[in-house]
Amino acid sequence: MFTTRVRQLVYLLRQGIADVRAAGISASFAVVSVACSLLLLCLYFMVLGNLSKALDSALDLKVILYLRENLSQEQIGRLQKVLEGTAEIVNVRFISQAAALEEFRASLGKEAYLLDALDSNPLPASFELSLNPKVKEPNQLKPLLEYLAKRPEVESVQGGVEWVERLSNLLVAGRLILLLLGVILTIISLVIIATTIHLTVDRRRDEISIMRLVGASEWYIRLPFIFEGMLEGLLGGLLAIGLSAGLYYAFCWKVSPLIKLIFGAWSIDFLRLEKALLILVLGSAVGGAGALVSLSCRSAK
Amino acid sequence: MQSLSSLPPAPLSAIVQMFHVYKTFDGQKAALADINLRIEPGEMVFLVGPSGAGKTTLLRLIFREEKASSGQIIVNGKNVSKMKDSQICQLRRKIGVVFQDFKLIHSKTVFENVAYVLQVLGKSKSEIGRKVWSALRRVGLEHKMDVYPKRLSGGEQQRVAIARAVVNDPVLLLADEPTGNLDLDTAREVMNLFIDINIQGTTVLMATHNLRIVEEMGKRVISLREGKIVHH
Repeated sequence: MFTTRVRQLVYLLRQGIADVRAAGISASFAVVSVACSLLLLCLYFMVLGNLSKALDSALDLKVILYLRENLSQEQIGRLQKVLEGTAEIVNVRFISQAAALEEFRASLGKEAYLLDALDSNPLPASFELSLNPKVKEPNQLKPLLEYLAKRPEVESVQGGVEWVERLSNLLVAGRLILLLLGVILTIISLVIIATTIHLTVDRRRDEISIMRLVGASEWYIRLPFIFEGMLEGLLGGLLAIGLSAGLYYAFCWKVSPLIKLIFGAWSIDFLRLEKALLILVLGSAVGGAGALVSLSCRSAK
Repeated sequence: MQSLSSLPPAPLSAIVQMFHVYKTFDGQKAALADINLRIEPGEMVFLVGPSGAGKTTLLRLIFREEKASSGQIIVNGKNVSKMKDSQICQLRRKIGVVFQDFKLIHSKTVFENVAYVLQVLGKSKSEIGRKVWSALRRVGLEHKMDVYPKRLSGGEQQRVAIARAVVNDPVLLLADEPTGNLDLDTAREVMNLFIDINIQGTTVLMATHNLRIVEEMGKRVISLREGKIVHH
């Protein structure tokens, strides 16, 4: 019984592959349409992953409080106590004017001699604050940064919440737009696959009536079409991953150096393995669903 | 509708039994009306009558291509009238059907056309090879296994269709005008094949309007006219 079922399944799988080859151009259209919609999903995962990473690294950035000039040691000590007693802040480091100048000199390297021309130290003293990694959301950070900016000892705050907020908003908007486009294109590919299967069913109408005549069950008749749809979906998924790999390398080659220049050592990641597998599974599912829709429409007739 | 329990007792060994069967298409005049018949195992029966008499409809009711409007049909001990759609394939695996237009798949070779029935049942490659060769030898076409149907004559195509119908050793062979597209000599050859199959134990029910051949065979004849049995 088991070997009979396996034999039947192998035969039907072969029939499904043969159908894809026989469908030719219409199968190619179906594969390309699935690839287009899944490409959007690939981009969705990639953009989402990289923006989340960017958001994380933005929050990992240290917040720097630049202090007003001529503060007494007492005032600085009082502020330090306040900062150390704040839950969102895990580390507080005071950088005096002299230490700031030394760090700057070190960062200039060979050009450090330029600083010799200065009459006085123009750099302000500052506090470098490391934030608690649990504080991820910009809206959690905003009240603290606003409070610190209003302190009388503070001249300005660097590493403000504005661009983190902008990035977060971008993330939400990008997620929504790509998801919406992905859903629309998925529906379109489902319809195209259903139409392709419809044509295959039409082409094999006589064969199907003979299958029924010799005692083939309804599932035996339907399975090759479902396999055909799943195979087209799977091929579409593979094509989408291939296309996104192409786009990724083109992006890394042309745009990534620019990003590095602006944001420092910030690399862009490709699709993660589990997401790539999810794309393939989704492709097959869309293909199988398209076939089922087509077959159900025929049965209803 | 008359229930089975109210009908006169009949031996249960019949291959086909029909009790007060009616078939009406979309409110039109009945295509079949009050059909009662019994076909014993090993019989060869001809179903005759003019075009539109209901011969094809009667055959289609037996292999459940059509469902009776009322009445009971028992085929090989199973009540076809009450059969669920999912059970029809089991019924058809016991019945071979041959049509006037052969109904062969032109993209498949003679071997593949006949093997198809066994593939559906999930038979092994070796069993399929053995049975197909045997069926084709039975109809004298074992030397044309790799030929496509379009390269065969009408008579040869019908022999392929017969091989396909008998390859799984059916208990009942239905034939709907199998000689309708053939000249008289070829029709006689095909008819002899049916007789040979019947002699080997398969029950045959054949619809035809070729009365000349029917008379030559000297077998039991059921005449239909306007959906009713007029001679039994």
